[in-house]
Amino acid sequence: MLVSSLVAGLGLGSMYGLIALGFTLTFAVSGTVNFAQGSSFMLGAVSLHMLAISYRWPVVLAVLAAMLVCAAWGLVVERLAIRPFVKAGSNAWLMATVALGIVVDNAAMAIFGKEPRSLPSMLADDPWIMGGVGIYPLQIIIPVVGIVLAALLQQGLKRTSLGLKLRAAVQNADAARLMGIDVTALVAATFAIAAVLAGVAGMLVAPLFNVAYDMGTLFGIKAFAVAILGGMTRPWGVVIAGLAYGLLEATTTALLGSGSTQIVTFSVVIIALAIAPEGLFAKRQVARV
Amino acid sequence: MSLTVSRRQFGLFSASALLLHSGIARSAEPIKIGLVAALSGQSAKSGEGITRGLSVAIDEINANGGLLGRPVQLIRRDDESNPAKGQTAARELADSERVAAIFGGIDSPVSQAIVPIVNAAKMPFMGVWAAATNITRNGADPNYCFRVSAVDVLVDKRLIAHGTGVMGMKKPGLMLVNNGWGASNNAGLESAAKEAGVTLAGVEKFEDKDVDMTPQLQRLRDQGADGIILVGNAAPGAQVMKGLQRLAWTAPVVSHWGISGGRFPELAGSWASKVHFVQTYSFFGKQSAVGTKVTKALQAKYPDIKTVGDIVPPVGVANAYDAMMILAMAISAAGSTDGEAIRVALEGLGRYEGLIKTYNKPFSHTNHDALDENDYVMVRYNGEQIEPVAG
Amino acid sequence: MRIWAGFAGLAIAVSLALTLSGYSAFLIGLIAITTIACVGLNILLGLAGEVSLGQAGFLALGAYSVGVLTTKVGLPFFAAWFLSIILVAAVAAVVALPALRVSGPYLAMITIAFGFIVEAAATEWQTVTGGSVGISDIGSPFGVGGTAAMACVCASVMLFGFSWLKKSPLGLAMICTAQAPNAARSVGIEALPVRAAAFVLAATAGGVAGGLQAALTGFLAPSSFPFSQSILFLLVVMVGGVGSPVGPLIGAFLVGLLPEFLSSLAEYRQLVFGAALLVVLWIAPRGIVGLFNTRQTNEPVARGDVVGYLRAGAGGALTAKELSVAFGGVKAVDGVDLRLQPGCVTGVIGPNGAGKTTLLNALTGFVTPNTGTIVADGRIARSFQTAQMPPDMTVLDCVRLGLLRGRWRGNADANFAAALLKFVGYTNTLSALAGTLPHPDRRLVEIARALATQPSVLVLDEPAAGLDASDTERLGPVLRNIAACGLAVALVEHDMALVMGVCDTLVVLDTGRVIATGTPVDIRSNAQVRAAYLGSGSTHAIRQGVKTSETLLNVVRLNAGYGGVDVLCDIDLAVARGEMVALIGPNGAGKSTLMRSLSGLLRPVKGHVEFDGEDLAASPAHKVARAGLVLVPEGRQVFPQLTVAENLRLGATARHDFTLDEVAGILERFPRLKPLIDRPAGFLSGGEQQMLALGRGLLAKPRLLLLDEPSLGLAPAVAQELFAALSRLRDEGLTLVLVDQMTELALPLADRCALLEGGQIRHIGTTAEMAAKLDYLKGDAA
Repeated sequence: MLVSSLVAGLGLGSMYGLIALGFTLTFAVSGTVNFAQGSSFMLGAVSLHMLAISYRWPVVLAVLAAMLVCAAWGLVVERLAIRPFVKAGSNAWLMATVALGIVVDNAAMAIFGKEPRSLPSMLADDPWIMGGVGIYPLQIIIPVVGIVLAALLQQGLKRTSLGLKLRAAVQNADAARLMGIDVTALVAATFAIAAVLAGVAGMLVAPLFNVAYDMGTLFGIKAFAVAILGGMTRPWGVVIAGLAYGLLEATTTALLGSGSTQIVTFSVVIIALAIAPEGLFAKRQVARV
Repeated sequence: MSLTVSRRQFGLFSASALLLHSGIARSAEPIKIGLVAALSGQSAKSGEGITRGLSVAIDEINANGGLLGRPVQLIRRDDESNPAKGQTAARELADSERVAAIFGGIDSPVSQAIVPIVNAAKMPFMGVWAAATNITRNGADPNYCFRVSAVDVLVDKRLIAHGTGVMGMKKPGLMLVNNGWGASNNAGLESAAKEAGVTLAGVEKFEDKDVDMTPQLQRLRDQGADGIILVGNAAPGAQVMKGLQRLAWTAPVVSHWGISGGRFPELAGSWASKVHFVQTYSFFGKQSAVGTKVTKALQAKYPDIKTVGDIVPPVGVANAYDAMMILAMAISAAGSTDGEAIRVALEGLGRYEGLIKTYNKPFSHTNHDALDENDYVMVRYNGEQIEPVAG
Repeated sequence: MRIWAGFAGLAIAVSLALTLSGYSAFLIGLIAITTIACVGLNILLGLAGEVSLGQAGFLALGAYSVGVLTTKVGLPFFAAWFLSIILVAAVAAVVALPALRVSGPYLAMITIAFGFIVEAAATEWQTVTGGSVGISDIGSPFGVGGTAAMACVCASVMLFGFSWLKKSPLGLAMICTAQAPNAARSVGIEALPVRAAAFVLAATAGGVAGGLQAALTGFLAPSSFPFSQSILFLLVVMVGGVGSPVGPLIGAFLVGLLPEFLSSLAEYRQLVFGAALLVVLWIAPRGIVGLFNTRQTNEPVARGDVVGYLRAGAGGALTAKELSVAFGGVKAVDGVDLRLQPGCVTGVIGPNGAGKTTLLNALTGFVTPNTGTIVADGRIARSFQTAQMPPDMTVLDCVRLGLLRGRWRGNADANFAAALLKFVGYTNTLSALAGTLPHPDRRLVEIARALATQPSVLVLDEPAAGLDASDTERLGPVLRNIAACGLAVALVEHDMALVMGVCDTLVVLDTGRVIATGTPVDIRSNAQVRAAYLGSGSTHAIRQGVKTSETLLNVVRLNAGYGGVDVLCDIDLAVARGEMVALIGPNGAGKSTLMRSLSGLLRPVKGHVEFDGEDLAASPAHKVARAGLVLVPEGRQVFPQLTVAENLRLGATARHDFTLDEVAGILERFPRLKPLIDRPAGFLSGGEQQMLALGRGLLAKPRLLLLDEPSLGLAPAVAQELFAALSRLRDEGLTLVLVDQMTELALPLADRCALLEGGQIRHIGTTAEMAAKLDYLKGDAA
């Protein structure tokens, strides 16, 4: 029982982590929270299903195309729901991202259909039996991919010149512009990257959990909780928080039953924030008066 | 600030009042039939199925000259699975659209919330999916709530009997969706088990959107369950099968009809055929004359229906079709669209050769459920097809 | 007037609810309930500035309490409603404990979590809540129409209550705590109780609405209060207009009625609803109320005995002994003894990083000293280095907050607040929003606010920073008048003319220690102070290098501004290759706006910015920078968490021929930076940061370097060092355009000088010509 919860928890948790990384990236560069991030997760899975199953594209091509769709979606979110409001000094981006999420979810309902569909995959067909518990190969692959992507992101931010530009833009956008950095494009690119991260998460879990037009809502909220717990600005913190959240969820369900899962996990979120108000892994900022 | 804003406030009030009134002033020419169901959200597919069943029936009625010389028109409202929205919609249909009757959707809580409203408004309400017992057995007299659908207490008896009989369970465990429907069946299954002298291993719940059921299944297994009784929709139901597969646990599974509300065989994969489940009607196999007629009409109206397997969810379509036809008979018999007259007519209807069965006195003053335990068939998937199983 | 209009609206709503059909009455009731819940949310969002996504949770709590108490306990509705409201308030107070430790998205998350917990608990706690089957047959005292009418009355009470609260001391305290927490603290407002009050009030309104919803619908289930309902409530507030008293009403109408109009769309309703919302948000990003600018303007007359008021609180001295403050092992203040005498102005001066601001923070309680004692008779009030103003509050209310000193009740006299503003020399309108004030006025309002608390000690942190000479000269007499009322005044300031002019005593700090104390005359001649702080005097150097006649930058009829108001008017300016031009002018003349326009930070602009033959007037900042027109912005703007090396590397972002040797060249030029190369730039002193900003700008290999106020906030000695560096750059042939308040340092370096006033170039000529014309500085001040 512990093994299966562990595997399920790590898998879910790394997905929360990937989506949450998107939250932190866009929050850092734009100071906004993209509540349509859950829809990116859905869009990845739905696009992959439509391309690979309905249009019978080769899987690799379909995955790449679905990533492009997500990137385009990220750009749309930034252009329509973030930029006009940030420019006007309004915090209505919060509602605009929610509204855009509603629009794309319902558009997906109209195009993709109302019922959940399955995405067959060799990696989630034949479980390996280990100690009476079956584990799909994909369940091992998911956390590995999640952690590798997070590590790549962390290193990219730290070591590449694009990462340096990004960190500069986060700290002082105007000054970054004066350095010749196209901050507007950088912010847009970040939204695209964030959407792709969530989309990859959606594609990874699709064979396990089916594909539906409304699959992003709950994942999006949980990922937001993870991003908050991770401290919003620390990639590693977010990934660890994601894994912890996934494990907590799986073990609570296993020990107390699914009715208690939401109560327990969200209570833990509140308690954790009460103890560590800036998130569990946030760097303390020195405030000057 | 003061004056302008208050004027605007006043303007909005009066504008909205006008708009509210405009509904009343509209022509009463067609007979309007209301539907309050989940058209978006998690259960959207059920609303679509009900819509199709009703539409095909209404088309047939209109092709035969309508009712009382008037055409019949379907007015649909989305309740978003939220009881408060369902109440708003029911009131709007009753007061503004002046519908002759209201059909309900899949969500028991929404129907339960609407019951007092329709009883107070003397508005006939026809449940075609939500199976919670107290929707029709609500204690009101006169009672305006009718149903052409399963009743949980009766289905539950059948599930226990089938599970312990044909499938050989000794100590079944319950896997229930965590909502009003699950709760209704929880009570029904426990009393049915008690009546049959069967011990239940345990009760586990899952959320409609849960994606991993192994923890719950493992708990049931640890409690000594040797079979599963499942109440839930297609997607989570499929996750239960995948969970069993992952646990390599070959326990028999018997299910309420919820899993037929989506593409269960596709979602559940190779283990889909292991489940036996309840249906009121199957479009597979040899069809009656009515069955053939309805299938043809559906295929003509909805191009996405290529085979009978595309008629999803079959129960929603079939129940809605029969319920609409029964209601039409009652309106004709009543000779008016007055709610009380329709209720009395419904309670006194005679014979109707329907899709699901031939109804003989579908309702009476005390019985508002047209289907009973003899009308349920146990079936299973064979590929995409549904085939009956013995028992 | 407003009250009568409100009553009329209420009367109409009530009569509609009582006479119309069930559906219309039900809808009116739902809109009223939404309004109630959202007025609550508006307290939290509009006044306290916090987002809650859990309002549906409080609604559920109130509704379920009423449902359980009426159906299971058998209480009559009103008793149940009353108890449920108390229960919701109590729960909100408990939730506030963890919730208010955080803010922003973190608080939003806690409220989301709360909403989900309530929904899940309602499902799980079956014995009480009926689980997912819910509670039906909840009795209502009046039926649908009557309940809806009752909800309308409640909503009206709430709307008027909000209007009252917004102007009440508590409401002002909420706004100030949200928008300028340090200012709130400085006038004695305790943030936690104020924020908790907002949170509990918001939740309680949700509870009130919930009880009504139970009565109106007669049925409750967990699915009646989904997360999307919380989002919808927030949407109502935002669409209506955050902080506006009628916003929730307008929003509730829109968000309540729109879905009804769209109901025939069935499954496409949500799609169209989402799109329609997006459109509304685009049209009115600040809410529908924001489309109509309806500011009240009534100016109270200044009345009251300010001097008597100040005298009554004055007379106490402040004595600090052996004060030490350390940050992570570094002693910012090290054993300082300080006495502030009543009636005296004590100047605290010293180089950047000497510990002046830390000392002030310790004296005013913003930092807890590690050792030492502070004894003060009476209240201590302060101003801040960067003025702390709640941008959406009027000037008058800012000062009234001071009069209230953190109390939640009381009648802060507007006339007296106006008198205080007059006393400090404020002449702008009293109903102006603090966020729209020009810089010098903010300083004055801040001083008036501090005085309003009736302090015995007034501590001012660089009040003249960013003020031009004429403003500064006006500040001197104000400070003397304050001291004349018997207050002990402490003044931290770099402007030596002001310090020497108004101070009775000077205390000189260096590296956290007092290195000298005495009268201005003593200090001026103190050799140690000269070496550490004041410097040698002028850095005047003979012009070397070449200035050509070839035009590099040609600005033609440049117009620019903010929000449709032009700040710059037909600017013409030509700069030759190798030339150095100084731009001078009073505060608000448009110098920084010109810099922002030239560098591309401010777009769009009208006119031409021809740079080396290319018109950059339409180019965004990064393209301008890439073209070689580089701005070293006001306030340094280094990247605080990046190291010095990374900051420098970013300077060369646009170049492909960058080599690490060039960094060495910069370190050669600014040797102070050499030992700091791997430190985060945020830890550098002001002077070091300015050197870094300049070095970073140079690494872009600019063809023209714009410098905006490089000496701002720098100690005189450091400013001299900086200007020496600029002088070298000029001699090396770099084209420079410089804006600086330190005209005595800037003018001698420049080839030409332009005087900017009122957004126009009044005069342009050689430095010598300008020096003769510079009477505008002296003339105004006299």
